[in-house]
Parts: sequence; C-alpha cells; structure tokens
Amino acid sequence: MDSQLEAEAFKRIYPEEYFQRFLSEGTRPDGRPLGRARSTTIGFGAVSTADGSALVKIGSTTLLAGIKLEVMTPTAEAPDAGKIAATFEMPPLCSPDARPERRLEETSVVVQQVMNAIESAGLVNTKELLISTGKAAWVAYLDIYCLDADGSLLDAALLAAVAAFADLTLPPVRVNPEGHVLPVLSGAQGGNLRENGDASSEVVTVERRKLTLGAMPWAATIGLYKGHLIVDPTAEEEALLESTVTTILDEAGRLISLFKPGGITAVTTALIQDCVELTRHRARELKQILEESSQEDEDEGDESQ
Amino acid sequence: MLQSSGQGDGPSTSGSEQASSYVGQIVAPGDIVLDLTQAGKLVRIGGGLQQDGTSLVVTKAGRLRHTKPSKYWVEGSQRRYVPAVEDVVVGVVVERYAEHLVIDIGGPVTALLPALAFEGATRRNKPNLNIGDSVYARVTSTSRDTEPTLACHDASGRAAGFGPLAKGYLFQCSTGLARTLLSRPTCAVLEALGGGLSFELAVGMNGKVWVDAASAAITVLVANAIINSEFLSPTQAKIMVKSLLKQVQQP
Amino acid sequence: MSSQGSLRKDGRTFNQLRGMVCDRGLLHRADGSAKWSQDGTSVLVGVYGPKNMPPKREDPEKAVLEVLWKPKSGIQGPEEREAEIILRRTLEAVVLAPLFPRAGISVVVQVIHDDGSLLSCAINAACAALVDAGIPMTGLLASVTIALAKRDDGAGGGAHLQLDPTREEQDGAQATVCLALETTPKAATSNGSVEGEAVVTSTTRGAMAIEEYLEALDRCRMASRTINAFARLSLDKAQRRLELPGT
Repeated sequence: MDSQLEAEAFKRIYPEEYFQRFLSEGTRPDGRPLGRARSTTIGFGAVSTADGSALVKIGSTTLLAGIKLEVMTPTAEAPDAGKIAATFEMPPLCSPDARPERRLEETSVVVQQVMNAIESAGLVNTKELLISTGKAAWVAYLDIYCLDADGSLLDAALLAAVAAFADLTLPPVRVNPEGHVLPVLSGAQGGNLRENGDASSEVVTVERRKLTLGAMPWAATIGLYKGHLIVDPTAEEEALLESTVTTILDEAGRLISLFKPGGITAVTTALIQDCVELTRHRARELKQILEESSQEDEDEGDESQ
Repeated sequence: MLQSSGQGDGPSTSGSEQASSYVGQIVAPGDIVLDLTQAGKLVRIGGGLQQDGTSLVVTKAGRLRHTKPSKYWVEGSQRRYVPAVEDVVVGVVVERYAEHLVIDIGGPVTALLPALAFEGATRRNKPNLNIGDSVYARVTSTSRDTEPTLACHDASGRAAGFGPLAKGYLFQCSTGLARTLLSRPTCAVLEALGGGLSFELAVGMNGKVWVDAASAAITVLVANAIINSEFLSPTQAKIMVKSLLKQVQQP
Repeated sequence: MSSQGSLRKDGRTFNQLRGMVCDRGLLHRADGSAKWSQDGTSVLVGVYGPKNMPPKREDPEKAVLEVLWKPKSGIQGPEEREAEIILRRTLEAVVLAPLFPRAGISVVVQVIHDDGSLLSCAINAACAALVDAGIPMTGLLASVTIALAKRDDGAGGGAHLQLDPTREEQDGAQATVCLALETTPKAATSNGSVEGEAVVTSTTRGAMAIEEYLEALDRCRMASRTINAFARLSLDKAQRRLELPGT
C-alpha cells in the first residue's frame, strides 16, 4: 500500500525520471516491451444505420468509423468518379484536454493524414463509386469518432477507416432516365436485381455490392525518447516523448507516408530505417488481425441467418 | 546552461586563450564560435550566445563582438527589446499601485518600478506618476521567471539623470539604432542636430526615444532626423540634418 | 548529376532548385519579417514577440509559439490548418522557448503565390523571419520538397527525382516528399558529427519504395546546403545594410 502510494507520488512529481527508469530496464509503465504494440481489436458493422462501420481498439484508444453514402452529381472534371469526404471528431469525452469550445489540434492532422494515406495507397478506386456516368455517383462520408484518446490516434484512425471501407456495402439502386437515383424496394430484392429491360429500358439497376479494395495502408506510430524507439505510445507516454514518427506501409512494403511533425530528436537515416523495420512487423500483425476479425464477422453472419 | 543578455556582464565560464576566429564576422544561430576546452581562462558571454557543453553557440544572428580579455557578444538589430541588467530604458507607466508602478518597456513582459526607487523617496514623499507618463530608468534585475525590475537612481542612490520625463515626445526605433545613439563618441546625427538646435533627449536601449524642445516644430524635426538616420552613413546623416535645419530656419 | 541532358519544362535540371529571393525586415510593425520566394512560390512571414500572452494561454515554463496561416485567398481550410500545426511543431524544434516563460511568439504566414513546394517555402520564410526578429534559436532550418515523377514519363535512370517541384510537376508526380532539415553550422571545433543533416520534419504524399524515400532524403540533404548558403548570404547582406551608419 505504502510503496504503491510512493510510486504514484514519484510518477506525479518526476514523470520523466519515472519513465526513464522503466526504459532503462527495457520495459514501459504498462508492462510492455518497447517494441510491442497494445492488443488490437476490430469490430465490424458496429453502427447498424451506417453503410459501413468499424470499431477499433488499440489498448484503450477507441475509435469508431462509419461511412454513410449519399448520391451526388459527379463533377465536370471527373464525370465517372465518386468521392470520399472525411471528418474526425474528438468530443470532450475522449480526453481530459478536449473541450467543446476548442478543437484539439490533433483533429486536423489526423483527418488530413488518414485521407492522405487512403489516397496515396489507392485503397478506394473512386470510379467504383460511380452509379451512372455524368449523372450520379456515391459520395462516401467517412466519419471517425474518437471515444477514448489514449495515444497513437493516427494508427487507430487509419485502421478504423480501412476496416469501415472493408465493411462498406453499396446498396442496390435504380437510375431513371433523368438521372434520379431511386432506392430498390426491399420487396423487389429477389430476382429483379438485374436490368429490367422490357418495361422501361432506360431504367438501370445497380446491384448491391462490396468495393474491391486496393492496397491497404498500415500505420505504426513510433515515439522517440533519448535514443529509445517506443512503438505505439500511450497518451501518457506521448506527453513525454521528444518526437513521434508515423510510418505507413502497404502490403507490398511500399512507403505510403512517413510523417514526422517537428520534434527535437535528430533523426538520421539509420533511425528512419529502424522505424520502417518496426512498422513492417506491425503491418503484418495488423493485417492478420483484420483478416481474422473479418473471418469471425462472416462466421457470425452465417450463424444468424 | 549559462545565459545572459547583458553586454558582457554575463556569468563566466572557463575559457580560451586565443580569441575566436569568428570575431567581427556575421554569425547565425547554431554556429559554434568557440571551443571552451582550449584554455582555462574566464570567458564572459553576453547577448546572443549560449554555452552548450564545451562550446559557445550562437542563438541570434548578428556580428560577433569581442573585447579583451575575453568578453563575447552578438550585436544584431532587433525591434523587440529583451531586458538586460544595467540597460538604460525609457518606459511608459501602464498601471499604478501603492507599492509599485507597472512600466511598458517594450519587452516580452512589462517591468516593475518600485514606488520608492527614486532618489530620496520616502513613503510620504514620492514622485507622483500617472498612467501614460514616461520614465527614464535603469534595469536592476532580470530573471527568467519574474518580471524585470527598474530603478530611477544609480547604484549609489543618486538620481543621475533618471526619473520622470515630463512633456516631450516619445517614439520607437530599432534597438540597433538606439545602441548607435548611445555609443561614444556621439554619433553623427546627434552631433549635427546638437550643433544647430537645443533639445533634450533620452534614449533607451529598448529603442524608445524621448525628445523635448522649446517648440513642437523642433521636436518633430529631431525625431524625424533620428528615425531617418538609421540607414545613412555619417556624411549622409550630416547632409540630411543640414537640409532639415534649413527648412526650419527659412520661414 | 546524370540528368544534365534531359531538362525539365522550365529548363532546370532534375537536381536544380529554383532561384531563391529573400527580403528581410519588410514589415514595419512586425518585430521581424521575411519574404521568401522560390520563383513562382512566394510566402511572406511576420513574427511578433516575445510578447505578453493572455493568462489563459501562457505557459509558465516556456514561450508559447503560435502560427497563423493565411491562404492566398479565401478562408482557412483543413489543409491550411494542418500546415499551421506542422509548421508550428517544426519551428518549436529550433526556437529556445524556455528563455521566455509566460510570453508568446506569433508567426503569421501569408501565402502570396503557390507554384509548388509551398510548405518548404513557408518553413524557409518562417526561419528567416525568426532570425530577423532576433528570437533565440538553436540552429537554422532548411526545407526542400522533392517530387518522384511517374516512371512512364520517359525519364529513365535516376532522373525521376525532381528537386523543388513546380505546382504542375507536383500534381503530376507519383509521390512528393517534403523535408525540413537541420543545417550544419559553422563550427570552431572539428568534432562535428559525420552523419548528414538531421530530419526535423517529414511529410509525404503518394506511394514510393523505401529506397526512393532514402534517395530523396540524400538529395534533399545536398540541396539543403545550397539553401543554407543562400540564407546566410542574404543574412549577411541584411546585416551589412543595418550596420552602414557605424562603418
């Protein structure tokens, strides 16, 4: 009891010293070795009203991503493509630093970097979001909500976005000659899904389908502190770190993003190579988790039917 | 880590025998100008320099200056003043309390002037300064964590020219120009102005300059001449003052 | 480099920066300012401070740095907000903020024209403006953007890395890398590290191989020396102009 209290007091008064003593023993305050990420879970279809959604937890960092589809008229520059619009919200409940009147600065960075990673990796081919050339296309509103911000937000946000796209189903629709998009009535969902050619030849029906996803980007945030490389830092650790490097790789090992916003550590070529190596390992881990989770999701779906 | 912003009045560290090869050159932040392990003498550092381990590192751009035996500082021209002990400054009263006055000297934070820091001041008999009044004072302390303090007397308690500045006109120039105005021998523009006009002048290291003369026309002329002189050579300054004097004497 | 033969649209070689112009102390009301241009891309930065901060925002340990990014026209979008944050964190790496506790330093960035490599141009401008304002810093930064041209452009060999890309090159590129590097200072001692310039900030767009990133890093390192030399030259000129009456 007493020593517990003392450790707590020591942590409050000398947070750096407290952290350093752990690091010198090759471990971290939460018991992880420096190179290990927190346990990660993905839950598909967490929001029933969304067209695609996923709940991602990395340790206690919790993010909910949902995709809602709406019909838009394609732009003149790209008449054969839909688009993706992303938002990232950090409501006051996610962190003690968040306030309703003040946007946390992470908000802007995370949403930009998630979109950058999705575009750079070519995860979604926006041409697949087309309904009818020049007339109608889907706009996918990707909303990511942070429910608990406990560090490495970008990693979790990107994973949630990727999982939500994997979960996304484009609903069946009919397009009439004026280019208006009408939903297919649930009663007609049996055999009439193909083009109903005879009665009104101009009406085109687009079937329910999943997106064919391109290369999936996998992110790992690595904290730099006095020569140590700390994978997947918590919020507590992030407050003490000298700088962070977020590396994003795809399956083929291509570099999608290497994001280091300032920080006082002198980053050398060797250090960048170390970060890439650690991210490779984490990317394999994340890929496996996503595959296993989607397998479980399908199994459950089969059982319920 | 040692740091001081006074001109050569900084703390001392063990230092070198030979002067840095960068003396007189223009240096930029990050430049290492001196290896402190070279010798064991005292090195005094001023504004724009910092000790980092065994080397002397530049933090502000400017010309590296050196006086014997081993004072180093970087001379630049910044608009924003950073207070240093023993600097003379001109300030404006912004708040008034029973025990002290709050003075704006154009630095990162306002300065404190204790109500009794005047020659011969007592609790009953102290100068009455109001908000908006100008004072000519000396910086007595600067610390990272507290506001700088001022005093309107010298170290021995005499007024020595410090005190409230009644009437007059206050304007702002760069710290580089203020340093030129305060330098000895008297700079060309003041020499030329003093030859033709009579006026009172108080120059602060913080770039605030106070002028007072018999007529508003002369006050304005002096202020303009000083501001215009910043980028002129001594000869050009003399010609500029001459032409200004002609304008004022003609009508 | 090997790319001497094949020139870019504007006549530059693949490894050539655009012509740089730097004017210091343009703004009269600011404590320091600089306009940095890389041909068509031009950014004006004003620095105010160290100054008083409202008590709500002050930090008892160090000066608070704030960056305001004004786009060429219109209001701030999410991209500008991100640039603001990246720029602030980049500058925080070199500004000696602990010297001015409770104070604030404002860096106002006005984009004059964007013809590619905008963030790099803004970082270079902000660094010059901070030097002009006399804000104590641990060192200087130099920022370079590099574009990886698509391979089917016919630019074979090692020629597909385009230094300091224009807007057109940037938009057409397979990927771009923007780096801010710490520059190597003049040193009285020779015990400086043999490693290249350290990376302070890195942002990328588009996919590339790790080797391509590392090659881009090496090219940027070399280019950063040119930028540093230019920044010093312009500083020298500005300082001499200020000192004229004394000499």
